[in-house]
Amino acid sequence: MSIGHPLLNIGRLGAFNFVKMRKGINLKLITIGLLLFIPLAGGRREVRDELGRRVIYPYPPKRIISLAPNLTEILFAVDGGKLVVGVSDMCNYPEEVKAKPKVGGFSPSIEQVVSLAPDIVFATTAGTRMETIAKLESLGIPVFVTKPTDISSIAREIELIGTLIGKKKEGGKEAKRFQERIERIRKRLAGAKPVKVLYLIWHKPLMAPGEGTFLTDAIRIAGGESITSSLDQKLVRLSPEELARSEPEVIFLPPLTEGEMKWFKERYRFLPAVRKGRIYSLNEDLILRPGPRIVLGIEEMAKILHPEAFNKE
Amino acid sequence: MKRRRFFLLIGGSLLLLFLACLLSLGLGGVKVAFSDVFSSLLSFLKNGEARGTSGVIVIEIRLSRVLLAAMVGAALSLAGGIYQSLIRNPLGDPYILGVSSGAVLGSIIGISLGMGATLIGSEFFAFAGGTIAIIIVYLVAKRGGRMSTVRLILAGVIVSSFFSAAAMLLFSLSPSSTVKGMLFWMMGDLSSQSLDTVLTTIPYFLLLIIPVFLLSRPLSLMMVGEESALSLGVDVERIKKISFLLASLLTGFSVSLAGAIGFVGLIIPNIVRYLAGADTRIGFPLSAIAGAIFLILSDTLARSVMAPTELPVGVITAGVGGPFFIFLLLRRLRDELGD
Repeated sequence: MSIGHPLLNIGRLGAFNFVKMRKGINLKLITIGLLLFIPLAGGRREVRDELGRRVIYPYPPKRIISLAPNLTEILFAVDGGKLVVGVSDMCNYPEEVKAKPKVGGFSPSIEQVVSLAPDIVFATTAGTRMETIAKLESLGIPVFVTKPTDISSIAREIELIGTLIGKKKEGGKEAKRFQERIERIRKRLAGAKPVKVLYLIWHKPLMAPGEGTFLTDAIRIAGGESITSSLDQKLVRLSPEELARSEPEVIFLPPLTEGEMKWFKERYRFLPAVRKGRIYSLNEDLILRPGPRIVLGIEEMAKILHPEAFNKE
Repeated sequence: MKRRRFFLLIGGSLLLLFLACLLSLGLGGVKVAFSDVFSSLLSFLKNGEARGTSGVIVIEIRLSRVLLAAMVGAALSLAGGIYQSLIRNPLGDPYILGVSSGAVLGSIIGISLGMGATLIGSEFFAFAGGTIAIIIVYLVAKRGGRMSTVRLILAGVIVSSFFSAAAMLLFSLSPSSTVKGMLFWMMGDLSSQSLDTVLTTIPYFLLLIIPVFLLSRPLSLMMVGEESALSLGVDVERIKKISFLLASLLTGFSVSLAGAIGFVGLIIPNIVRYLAGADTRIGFPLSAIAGAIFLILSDTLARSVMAPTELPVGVITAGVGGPFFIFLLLRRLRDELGD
């Protein structure tokens, strides 16, 4: 939990004093000046976010808050790191993020967000409740919501976020780089037979990604086919019977303690993947975040699924 | 004559239990022919192992669930039955009284401390949490010798909310993937225990339920009236303490193995009392068997209706139990308040 307090934020307080001082000098003049200036500079921009909602925000934004780790990583990747004035509790990459004010997790502190006076807030459908988003908007804070559904949507979001924050060139470059690395993995695995994969987001009970999730797409790119890929739910509570029937060749588990791992192997000893020791854990910060670094997660997964494709050079 | 009725009822319900087990072994998300169910069972009994996919499904998955559901269903029903006779109120249930949330919190603390992997470890924490919860509820709800329904329900709700909030606090401090999984587990999960674990818990289960049956006579006398029980040589206070302890242990046993499953302990003893009378000497064994049947069938439904996705079994038991609870509550309040 973050212990930040608006009053401890010296920079913000400074800006506030400044405004107050000027207000004393000549409020009218400033108001007229601003009214003239906004339409001239075109200081506002209207866009539609990935839910089709209208978002109107000052362009280019100077103060950005990110409510999800993947969006924070995208913002930093497109050279928007300096503009970020607040991040979620889960954001931990890149290193500079750790110095940024934290605004909370799944239900961020509205007060904290407001006190940081962002020009725009970035959020994902998976990471923030729609009620929170509506609340922020009612307080006059524009919120741009993304909804990653597959890997190419991540590339699109990188480019889009670059454009939104006035870093069009960086966004385009980064998106291209992302797509090229994905293509390289695809090419390397061309012709490889898809491996039947069970990716467990949680093991007790069995929870796995379903249809229309970037994780299912990531597994496909890494040369696998998720046994839960056709299930019409984002998060599937998988029945063990179905698991026994579909016999995955490789199982990915969340990072478990030794005791939990022992427990899992004992509980599902009847699965060929468990008997052959084909169970692995990936770095969740890489594979479970629809951001630029997911490429590394996919590579890691591809090497496990198709070692032959990576050993041959 | 009475003896004959006892054996007839027990025998009949055991037969129903057996049929429920067979049904549950044969039904589920994946189709297994009943002939395969029998051959898998036979080969398991002969060689102690399961062969082929259907063998694995019948033995490693369904049999372990059926046995666990039977034990947990029986344990929860007995816990509910004990609470109901102790507080002389039909609304006694480990879930409603907050004992389950106490046990859940205990389990989570145990897991956070790294003791979750051992059965005894998680059992102990679940038991401790459940016991603390019931002691608080008891102290809050008791006024003079009698407990009013309103006080009891309020105390249960408050204690339950408090313990759930504490569990939520622990969730919010733990890594995000842990949270979702644990939340699902909290709603009841009979799918995660291996057959070996289930088999090794059978002795503990027996150790817990045999004393309950020994207590059924003094409890039955106490239900009629504590004075008359005293005059018949029953050490009322001691029996009360042991019974509370046992009920908490039964709840802790269930929660540590299968999460918090609500309303089993409410529905079953009430139905049994309605059908077979207030005598706990027959009520307890019947409740245990009926609870087992109820949870086996609920779990079969939970894993079949939306296959290959599973519903939390607590959703099914609450779907049946919620309306039942309201019915009982309204009737009880009408009796108490006289309107």
